Amino acid sequence: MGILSFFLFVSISSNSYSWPTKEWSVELPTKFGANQAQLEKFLSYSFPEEMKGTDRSGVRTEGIVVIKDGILIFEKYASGYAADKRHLAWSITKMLTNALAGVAVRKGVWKTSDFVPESKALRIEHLLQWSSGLDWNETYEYNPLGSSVIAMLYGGAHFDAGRFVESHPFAATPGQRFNYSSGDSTLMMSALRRRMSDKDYENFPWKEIFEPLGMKSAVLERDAAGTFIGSSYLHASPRDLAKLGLLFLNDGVWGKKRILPEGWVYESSRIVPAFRQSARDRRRMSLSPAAHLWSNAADPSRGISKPLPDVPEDMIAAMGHWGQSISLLPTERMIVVRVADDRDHSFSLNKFLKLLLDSFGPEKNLERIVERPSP
Amino acid sequence: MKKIAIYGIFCLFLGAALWIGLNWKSILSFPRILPSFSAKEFCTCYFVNGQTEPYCRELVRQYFPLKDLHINSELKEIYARGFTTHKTARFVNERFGCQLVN
Repeated sequence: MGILSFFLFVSISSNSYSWPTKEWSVELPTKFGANQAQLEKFLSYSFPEEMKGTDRSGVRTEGIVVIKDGILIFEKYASGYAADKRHLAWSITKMLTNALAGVAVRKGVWKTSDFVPESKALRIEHLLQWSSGLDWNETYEYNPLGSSVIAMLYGGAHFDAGRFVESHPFAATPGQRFNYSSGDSTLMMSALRRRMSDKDYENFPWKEIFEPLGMKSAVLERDAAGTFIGSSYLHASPRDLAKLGLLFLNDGVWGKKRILPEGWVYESSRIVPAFRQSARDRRRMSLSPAAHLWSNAADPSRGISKPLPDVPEDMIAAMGHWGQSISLLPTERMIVVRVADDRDHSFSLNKFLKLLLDSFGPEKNLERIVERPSP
Repeated sequence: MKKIAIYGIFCLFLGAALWIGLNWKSILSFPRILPSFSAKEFCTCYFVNGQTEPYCRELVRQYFPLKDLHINSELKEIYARGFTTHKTARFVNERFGCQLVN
């Protein structure tokens, strides 16, 4: 499969629709062949009645935005959220960090094969693939003791998060061991800072991503030293998060402007070389790690099976704590943003996306306003 | 029988001491995690994401209760106290949201 044909170019060809920099064009899902009764099932799964309780159990969706063919065809909010309201994104931020790293490559700020400053073994690509080899413990509030990420954000290391990550010893040779690590993301943002002036650095996300995409709601928080945390702390409306999704679905091109280098999204979507799928990964249907993204691909040569059985294999995603996700479905030309406050493991991304995809029926029923690129 | 019980208690004590020794750094930083998390995430929830006070209190609720959480709307600061520590988070600006200041 060639790089160009892996991601479909979403080109909005009808005169009544425009590229969503200013705002999304909105249509009813039924215009895209959606079955209303099926859509109700998707809705009752996503917004169950019991979420109104106070015990914080079950599926607790707070917002959904569905984009098809570059058009917003569905959105619904709960818990006081609305189309213009920001939501926390937690680790969805890592998709933005991937984009910032890609822009830095396109602009010649660095190459992914470059070493991280002051290291002779650790490269930018190792950080992108969560394979730095640093001795990092990624646990959250239910296991806070010994958690590197909690220490970084709330345990006193927030004065200089980059320096804190660097202080960790190596537990493996860089590139040889996959270990999902917010530290790798933060270290990448810290390394980026050393490649440019402070002024250029603090403007970088806005100049290169938020302004070109029209992500007006975006807020990106930093540590006390002024380094973007990069592993989390992006806050934006689900509509704006969908724009970040569209950039990736469209192979890094926004409208007519190339923002990410050619082939960047394809390379970023490949399963991390050092990853080995465990029995626990298979049981919990966790997506496989790609470069600051997650993949639903199978790789029989490495014994990796497709994590979400009812979702297309070409699906890639950004995932965040408490149920945040941006799912990209290239074949269906869909982006599904879900913001939530899930505090247990009741929610199934597989079931959620299956119910949504079931609402749309076979492809032939769709009104086509998107053209496939010529090979 | 008594000897076995004393031996068991001694082993438990030794195990606990070893665990504390190994996790000493984390244990020392533990008291500041709760107020830091609460101050920072309440600040973002309230001043950045524009949510209501009850929603933000529920968002930051953990299994250990906070002793105090105070909103200073004028300075755009959140003050949180838990265990023996207090922490403050401040809204910086529209781009960079909130930050812990101590």
